[in-house]
Amino acid sequence: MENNNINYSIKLMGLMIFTSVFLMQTGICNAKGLDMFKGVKQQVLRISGGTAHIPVMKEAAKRIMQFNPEIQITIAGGGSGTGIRQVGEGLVDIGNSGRHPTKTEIKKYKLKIYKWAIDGVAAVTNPKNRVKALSTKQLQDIFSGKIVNWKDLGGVDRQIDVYTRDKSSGTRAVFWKKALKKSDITDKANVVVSNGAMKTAIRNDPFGIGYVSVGFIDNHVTAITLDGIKPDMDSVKSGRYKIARGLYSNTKGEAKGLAKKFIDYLLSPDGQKLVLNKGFIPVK
Amino acid sequence: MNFKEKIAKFIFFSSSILSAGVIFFILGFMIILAFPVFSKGLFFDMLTGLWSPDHGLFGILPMIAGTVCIAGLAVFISIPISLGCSCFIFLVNPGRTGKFFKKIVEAMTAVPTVIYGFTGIFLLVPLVRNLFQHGSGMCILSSAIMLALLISPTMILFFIQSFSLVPKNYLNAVDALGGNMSQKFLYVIIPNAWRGMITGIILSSGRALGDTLISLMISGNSTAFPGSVMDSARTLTAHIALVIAADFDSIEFKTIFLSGICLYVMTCTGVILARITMKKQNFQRNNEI
Amino acid sequence: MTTKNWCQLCCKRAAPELNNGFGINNGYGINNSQGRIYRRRKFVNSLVMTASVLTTLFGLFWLVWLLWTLLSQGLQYLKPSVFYLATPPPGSSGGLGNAILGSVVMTFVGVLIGAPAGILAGTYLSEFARESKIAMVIRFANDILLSAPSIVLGVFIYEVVVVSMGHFSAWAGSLALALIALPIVVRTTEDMLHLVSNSVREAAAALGTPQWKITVSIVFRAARSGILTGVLLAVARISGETAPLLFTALNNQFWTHSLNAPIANLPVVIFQFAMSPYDDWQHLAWAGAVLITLTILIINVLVRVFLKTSKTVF
Repeated sequence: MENNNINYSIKLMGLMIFTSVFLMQTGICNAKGLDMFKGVKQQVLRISGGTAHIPVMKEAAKRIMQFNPEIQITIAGGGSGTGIRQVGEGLVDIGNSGRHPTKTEIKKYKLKIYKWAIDGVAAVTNPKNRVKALSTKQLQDIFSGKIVNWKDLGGVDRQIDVYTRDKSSGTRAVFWKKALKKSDITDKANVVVSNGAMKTAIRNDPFGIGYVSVGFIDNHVTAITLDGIKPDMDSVKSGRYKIARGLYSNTKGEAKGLAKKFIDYLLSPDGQKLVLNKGFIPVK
Repeated sequence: MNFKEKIAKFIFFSSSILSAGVIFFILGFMIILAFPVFSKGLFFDMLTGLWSPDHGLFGILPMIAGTVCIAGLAVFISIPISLGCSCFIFLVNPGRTGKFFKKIVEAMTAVPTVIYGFTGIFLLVPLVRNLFQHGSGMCILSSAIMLALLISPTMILFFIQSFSLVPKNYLNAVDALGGNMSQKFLYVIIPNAWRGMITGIILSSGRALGDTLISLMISGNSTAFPGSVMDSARTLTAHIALVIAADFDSIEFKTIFLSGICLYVMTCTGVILARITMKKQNFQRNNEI
Repeated sequence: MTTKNWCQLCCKRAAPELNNGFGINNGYGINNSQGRIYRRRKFVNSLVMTASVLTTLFGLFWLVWLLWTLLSQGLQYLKPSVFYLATPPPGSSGGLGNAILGSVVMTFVGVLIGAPAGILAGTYLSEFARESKIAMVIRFANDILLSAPSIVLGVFIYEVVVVSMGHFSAWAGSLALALIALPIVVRTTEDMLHLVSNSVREAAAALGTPQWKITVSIVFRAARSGILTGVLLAVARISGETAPLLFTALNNQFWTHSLNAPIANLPVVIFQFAMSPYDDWQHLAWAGAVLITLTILIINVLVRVFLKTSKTVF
C-alpha cells in the first residue's frame, strides 16, 4: 500500500517536471546565435548592477536558459556602483554599469570593460504635465531646487516633485554630469532605487520630474525636449542629443567561460537585435 | 547519571548563551566596523551633520530626525485608535462582536510590512497627494499613517492585556456602586493599567522605528532635514537599505554601521524603559494584593 | 489588596461624583445640580462610548480597505500558473513559482536553525536558570534581539556571511531569518513551559528522576503543542520578512538548485515587482501579496488551534 503511494507520487512528480519542462520549451526560441551555449554543463552565471540593463539581460538569459537548461543565470539590480563593486569583489561574474568605470575602479579591481549598447538619459515628466520642453538652465534650476513650482515653467500651480536616484546609479552619474553640468541636486528630492522605480514614480505622480534611460520611455511618461532636441533613439544615435552613455558589462580580468559566452552573445547579431528591440542603440 | 545531567545542562546553557550572545556580538561588530569613524573623530560630525556626499558631508542627522518624526507621528496616530478599539473590545462589546474584532486584530499583527508598503503606495500616496494638493504624496504623513496601521494591532493587544490584568473585584465594585461604563474605564481601568499601556506603546514604537519597507517605499527617501509632515524624509532603516549599494571602503558605507548603532541604542532604550515600567507595575500589584 | 487602598481609589476617582450622581445618599438635596450632574455623566458616558465605537469603526475601515484592495487586486491575478512558472522578464508571462519555492526553503531552513536553539535556550531559562542573575541577562538580551530592527540583523549577516563567503546565498538569507526566529521561539518556549504545573515536575522528582529527564520526557511532552505554537509564530513572522533578504539572499529570476546561490523569495519579489513599471510584474506582485497574507493568516489559525489543544493538556 505504502509502496503504491510512493510510486504514485513519483509518477505525479515526474509528470509535473515534464509539464514544466514542456512549458519552458514552448517559448519562442531562436537558436541561431545560441549555438555557442551547446554542451555547457551545469554552470551558474551571476550578474548584477545597472538597472537600465535589466530588460536586455533578462531576455537574453531567458533565451540562453531555454536553449540549454543546464545553464543558470541570476540577475539582480542594485545600480552601476553595486555592479562594479560586486564584480570587483568576486560576488558576481558580470557587473553591469551604466557609466564607464572610473580609472581607480579599473585599477583597483582589474576590470575588463565590454560596451554593448548606447543609451540616452532623458528627463521625464508625467504625460498629464503641460510642460514638455525645458532648457538646460531650467533643468538645473529645477533639480537644484531654485524653481519649485510648475507655474514658473508654464504649468499648473503645484510644487515640483523632484525625483532622483541613489549615488550608486550610473544613470544619475551621467545625468548629473551631462545634463545638469554637475550642478547641485536638491536634498529635498525623493530617492528611488532603479530606472523601473523611477518610471513608476513619474507615471503615478502628475507633478513629478525625474530621469530615466531612453530604453524605458514609452507613452506612460513624457521625455522632456531639452534645448529643442527630443530624446529618442534617432537623436541619441546621431549624437544630436548629448546626454548619452554606453551600457557596459564588466568582468574581473578578461572574461572567460560562460561570462565570455554571454557577452559574446550580447555582441552577436542576435544579441544586438535584442538590444534594439528593448529600445537601446546597438554598437555594431 | 550525574554526567548526563551535566551534559544536558551544558547543552541547554550553551544554546541560551549563544542566543543571548548574538545580540552583543552584533553590537560589538557594528562598533568595530564603524571604528574608522570614531578614530578619525568624525563621529560627532556624522551624528549631528547634514547629508550631502557631493560636498563631503556624511551626517545622518536628517535620517535620525526622519526616523523619530515618522515613528513618533505613527505612534501619535495609533494611540487614540488603539485606545478606542481596545475599549470597544474590552468594555463596550466584550461579547461575540468584540471577540470577532479581537481575532481580526490578532490576524493583522502578522501581515508583512511589504504588503502595507505596497497597498500604501497604491492607495494612500495618491490620496494624500490629491487631498492636500501639495507635494508628491510620498511624505512623512503617508508613511506614518501606514506605520500606525502596522503597529495598531500590537498596541491594541497590549492594551487589552493590561486591561485584563486589572483585578476583577475593582470592576465588580464599580458595578456595585452603580458606576457606568465610562467611569469604569476612565477612573478604574486606566489608572490601574497605564503602566502596561505605556509598555505597549514603547514596544510598538520600537516596531515603528525598526520598520524598513514602509518607509523605504512610501516616505520618499529624501535626505533633507524634515520640515513639515508633507515633506519627504528618509529613515535610518531605509538609509541602510539605500546605502548598502555604496563602495565598501567609502565613508558613506560606514554610515550604515553608525545608523545600525543608532537603531540599536534606540531599541535598547525602548526595551529598558519597557522593563522598568513593567517591573513597577508588578511591584505595585504585589504590594496591593 | 487592602481595604484602605480601595477606599483611596474610590475617594480619589469616583466618589465626588458618585455621591451626587445617583442620589443614593442625598436624594432630596439639590435637585437641580443632581439632574445636571447626572446628565453630564450620562453625556460623558455616551461621549466615551461613541468615541470608542467611532475609533473602532475608523480602525476597522482602514483594515477592511487594505484587505479588500489586497483581495480584489490579488485574487484576479492568482492563476494556477503563478505557482509553477518562474518569474518572467518584463513583458512576458510567468509566475512566482521560484519565489514561492525559495521562500518556503529559506523559511524552512531558517526555522530549522533557529527553532532548536531557541527551544533549548527557552528551556534553560524556564527549567534551569529560572530567576538567577544569568537568566535575567539572557532574557534582557533576548528582548533586545526580539525588538531589534530586522535590517540591522541583515547588515550583520551581510558582513559576516555574504562578504566572507564572497557571494549572496540562500544560506545567508536563511541565517538572517533564523536570527529573527530565534528570540520568538525562546520567548514562547519559556512561557509555555511555565504553564506546565509544578506538581508534575515535583511528582517526577519525587520518583528520583534526574532533572534533564524530567525536562525532556515530561515537561516537553506536556508543553508539546505550546512549543509548536512558538515555532509556528516564528514561521509566520519570518515568512513575510523582507528587509534582511534584500542583501543576503538577494533575488534570482530562475529556479535555484543550490542553497549556495542567490535565491528568489516572495517578499523581495513583491517589493521589486511592486516598484516596477511593468503591468504584468505588478499583477504578479498583487498575486504574491495575497498569497503571502493568506498563508500567514492560515498559520495564525493553526496557532490558535494548537493553543486550544494545549490548554486541554494542562
